Amino acid sequence: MVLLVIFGLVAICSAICVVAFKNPIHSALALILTFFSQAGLFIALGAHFVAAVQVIVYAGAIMVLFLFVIMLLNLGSLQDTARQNISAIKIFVLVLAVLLAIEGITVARYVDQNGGVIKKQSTDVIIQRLKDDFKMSDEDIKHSVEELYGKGTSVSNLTSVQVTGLVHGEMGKTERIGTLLFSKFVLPFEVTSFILIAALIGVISIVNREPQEAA
Amino acid sequence: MENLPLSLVLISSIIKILIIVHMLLIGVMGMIWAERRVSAWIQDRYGPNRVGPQGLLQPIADGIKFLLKEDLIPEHVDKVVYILAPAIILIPALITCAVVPFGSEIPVSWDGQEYRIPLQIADIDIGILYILAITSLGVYGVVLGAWASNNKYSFLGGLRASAQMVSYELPLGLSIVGVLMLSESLRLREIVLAQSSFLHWNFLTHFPSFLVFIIAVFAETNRLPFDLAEAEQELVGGYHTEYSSMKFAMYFMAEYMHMIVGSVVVVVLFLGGWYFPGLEKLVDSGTLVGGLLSFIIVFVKTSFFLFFFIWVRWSLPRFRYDQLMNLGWKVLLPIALTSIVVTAVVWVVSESRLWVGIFNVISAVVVTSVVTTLVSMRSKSKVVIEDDLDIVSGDSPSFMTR
Amino acid sequence: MLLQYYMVLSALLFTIGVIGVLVRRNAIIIFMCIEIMLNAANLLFVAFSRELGDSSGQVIVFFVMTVAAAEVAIGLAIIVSVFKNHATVNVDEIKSMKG
Repeated sequence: MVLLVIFGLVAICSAICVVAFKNPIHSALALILTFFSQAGLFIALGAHFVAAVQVIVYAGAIMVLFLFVIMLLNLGSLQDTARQNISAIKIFVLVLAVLLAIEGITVARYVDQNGGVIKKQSTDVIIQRLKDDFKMSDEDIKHSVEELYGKGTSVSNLTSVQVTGLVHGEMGKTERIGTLLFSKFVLPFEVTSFILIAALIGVISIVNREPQEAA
Repeated sequence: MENLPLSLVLISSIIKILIIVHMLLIGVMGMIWAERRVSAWIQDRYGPNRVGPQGLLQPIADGIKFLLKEDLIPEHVDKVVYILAPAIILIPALITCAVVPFGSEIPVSWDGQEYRIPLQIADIDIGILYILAITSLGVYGVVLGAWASNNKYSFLGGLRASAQMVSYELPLGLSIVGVLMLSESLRLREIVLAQSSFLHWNFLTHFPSFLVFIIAVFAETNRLPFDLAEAEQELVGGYHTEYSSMKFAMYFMAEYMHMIVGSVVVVVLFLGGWYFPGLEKLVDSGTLVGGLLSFIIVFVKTSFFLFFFIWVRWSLPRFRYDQLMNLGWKVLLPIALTSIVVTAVVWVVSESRLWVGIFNVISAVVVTSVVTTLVSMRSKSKVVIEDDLDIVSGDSPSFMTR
Repeated sequence: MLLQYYMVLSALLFTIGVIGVLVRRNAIIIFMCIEIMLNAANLLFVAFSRELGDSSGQVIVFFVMTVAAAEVAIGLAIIVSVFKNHATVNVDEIKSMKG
């Protein structure tokens, strides 16, 4: 909760800074801060692997690319004046209202107010799901329970809070994501490799073209 | 640290953080001294030996010099980024140490019960991914420092240095995958525990990956033979031209810190961490002696590796930029990729590290020769003109209008 | 309760991204605001993945990041190409398709 507040505030402030700064380099630095706070939010949600990938891909590679391009194009702060006939406040209110309306409807209809879908199920069902979906063996489950709650806690005597904690802990682990990636999501995985090759070929062919004379 | 009470975790973590940060800073001082003495020994002369006994207070003299020099901020720089850049390069080196295991466990009695505290600040689930993530942030210090200097030559030098660092992140990351496959975990403690007997040390099983990783660490720390960012343009610039006294000292310290951290990571991943053939039972025993011994073993291995860094620096000539890029993309990357595939296939088929090791070496040799032959066949058919020749010769790229 | 907070945060980030795309004239900054929007969507995916106890949300985030990386590479290459031809990246001034 504390993490959410801290990282959330930092994320919103730095996102506003991205939009507001005149110098593109300062905007890019603010965006790096946004990505870091996003990684912090992912960790607060227990998704450690995704947080690390966020830092590696977004903050470590994509932003370096942005910085290279900004520096090579050598843009000053002069090239950019905000449009006069668009009011930022109106856009803000309108879009925020639409999004919150959609989210409010989703929450009201689909989300269990007492704390989520997990708590409604019984302990046995959840443990069975751990075995099926996450492909955990009995040994793995016992090990994780001991890691979280100390030695000697038996698997069958867990309270619902403890089981929820167990699921949340297991969900973000690399082994689970890897298992899912190669079983349920193997087709998107292979297609993503094609997307990356297409991007590579596209970039090289765009960049290698001779610049035409300006009209 | 699963079953330790919260108060013990907090206090031990604070103590560990203090100790490790101070160790790192003192290590930097030791490296400054060691570099000058060892290079002098290699070059058959005396190094600094006047300032203290054997010149050991030389780094302190250097530090005082840096502090007392005039710390000027030139007129024409982008002040925010100029001041931020040295800090940005120092931070990744320090925070990488948070997940590196420096030893096995030491016993402590707290509240009347015996606990074992691991000599590692945080044993997170994604240990090695965290290190990769933080390493990829090292580029920012260089590229922002180069930009903030508002000096065309230092900017181009910094850009080339950061392109080099980004290119070598790939072999760095991919060469570790073979190790992770056999250790079956991303946690650094488990990677070390998997190397408990000497024949299981990862540098034997994954020898080509070990070499690739070492070369990538050399390139990531901008250290000879990969240091054209600092040395070649020393006549005209380099990304830290416009920096004076303390900020320059921070760049300097950051390079040594990156070297130290890189060495420790190599030791943990490939050289068996805190194990030594013959002493395995002792270091794992959980006694105070065992714990301290494990720490000393890591320290000794790291020092040997740092000596290797210095040794290589003063023995090899510098790479040209296109040779550097060729090495990174056309030699190291294929070796790392082949090692992944071969490790996976051979391990599944035979479950024996011996065969994995043999096949790794054979496949690395085969792949290198194939790729080198293909590349030289292709380049015989046309004159090779590098795309960044205009950067090399100092002209502006065609679209830079200012 | 916590989920609602994450949803509001994600909505806020998304609207800030939308404002950035509509208000700024520099093509690169517009690009950066698109990345903010993608991040807001990622945050929502992970929040719901935790809520439902299913790691699929995190795997989808992994794919979104990969596609975002590819898109940034191509987009920046296009911007560099446009700059070579027009000497500006102000989207108000890049009005003609020819040349």
